[in-house]
Amino acid sequence: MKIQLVFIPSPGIGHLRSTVELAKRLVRSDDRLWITVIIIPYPSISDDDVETTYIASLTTASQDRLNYEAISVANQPTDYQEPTQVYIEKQKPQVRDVVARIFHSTGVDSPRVAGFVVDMFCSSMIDVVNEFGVPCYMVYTSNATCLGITLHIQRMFDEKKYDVSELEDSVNELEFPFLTRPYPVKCLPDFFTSKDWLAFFLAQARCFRKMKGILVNTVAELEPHALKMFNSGDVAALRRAEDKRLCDGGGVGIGGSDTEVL
Amino acid sequence: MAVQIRKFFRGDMLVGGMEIVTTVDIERAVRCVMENDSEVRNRVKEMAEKCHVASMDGGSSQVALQKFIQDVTENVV
Repeated sequence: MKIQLVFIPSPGIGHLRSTVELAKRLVRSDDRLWITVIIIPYPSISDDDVETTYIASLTTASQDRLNYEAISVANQPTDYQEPTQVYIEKQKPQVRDVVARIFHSTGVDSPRVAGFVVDMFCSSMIDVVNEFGVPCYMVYTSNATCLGITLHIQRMFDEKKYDVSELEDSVNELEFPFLTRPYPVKCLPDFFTSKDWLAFFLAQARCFRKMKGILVNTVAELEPHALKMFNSGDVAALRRAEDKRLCDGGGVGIGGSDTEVL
Repeated sequence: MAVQIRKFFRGDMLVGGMEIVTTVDIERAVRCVMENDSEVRNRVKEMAEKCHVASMDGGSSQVALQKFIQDVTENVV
C-alpha cells in the first residue's frame, strides 16, 4: 500500500527547512510513505537570496516518494508588515489547484492521500483540506510549552473571559499549568499583550484545535513537564489530550498575592 | 538553557516603535555561551546528547513519529 501525505510548510527558511527535514525523515523511516511538499514562497527578493536558492535546490531534487511543488506567487508589492498568516491565506487558490491535481492524478497504482500536514502559520489551509475530505495535521515549529501556553490563553479567553492583554497593573506574574514556575507578566511576548496581535493569535489557536493532530518540534526529554501536561507522548493524540486537560483544570484564582493562576 | 540578553523589551511589530537590542547586549550573551565549562554550555551538551538518543531507534522521538505514521495509515485502511 502506498500512502500519500501532502505537506504545506510556511514560507521563511526557518519553517521551510525544518518541515522539509521532517518530511525526509518520515520518508526514510517508512517506505509506504509518499510525500508531496507544496511550497509557498515569499515574493523573491533576488535570484540568489537564501530562500530562493533553497527552494530551487529542493525542486530539482524532487523524486517519486518525496517531491516538491512550488506555487507561483503573484509578484504584487506586499506590505512589509503583513502577517505571514494573512499572506498565506491569499495563496489558497493556487494551493487548491495543486491539491486538486494531486487528487485527480490518482490511478490504480497511485498512493492514496491519507492526510495533510500544514505549518502552524498555514492553519487556515484546513479549509482547503476539508474540501477534499481528508484529515489535517499540523506542524508546530515552536516547542510544546509555547503551544500549551497559547492554547491555554485562548481557552481562558473564550471560556472565562480572561484577557491577558488587559491585566491589572498589580498583576506581576501568571501561573500556567504548562510551566513549573510563575511567569513574569513583563516577559509576555507582544503577540499576547497587544490587542491586535492577541485577537490574531487567539483565532489561530482556535484553528489549531480543529487539527486531527499536532506534531510539535520537541523531544520528550526536553520538556517533560509540558508533555506531562499534554498527558501523552503521543503526538497524534496531542490535541485530544490537551482538550481533556484543559477541561479538567483551569480556573482563575485571584488571591491576595500578585500572582494569578491561569 | 538560555542566556538573558534583556529581561524584557517593549514594542509592537504592527505599529512600529520596536526597542533596539544593541550589539553590546548580543556580544555579552554570545561570549557567555562561548566560555568553556559554562553552565549553559554543559547543559546544552547534555540536552544535545538526549535529543540524539531520542531520535535513534526506540528513542522517544522515533516512537512518536511511528505513532503518527500509524495514525495516518489508519486514515486509508
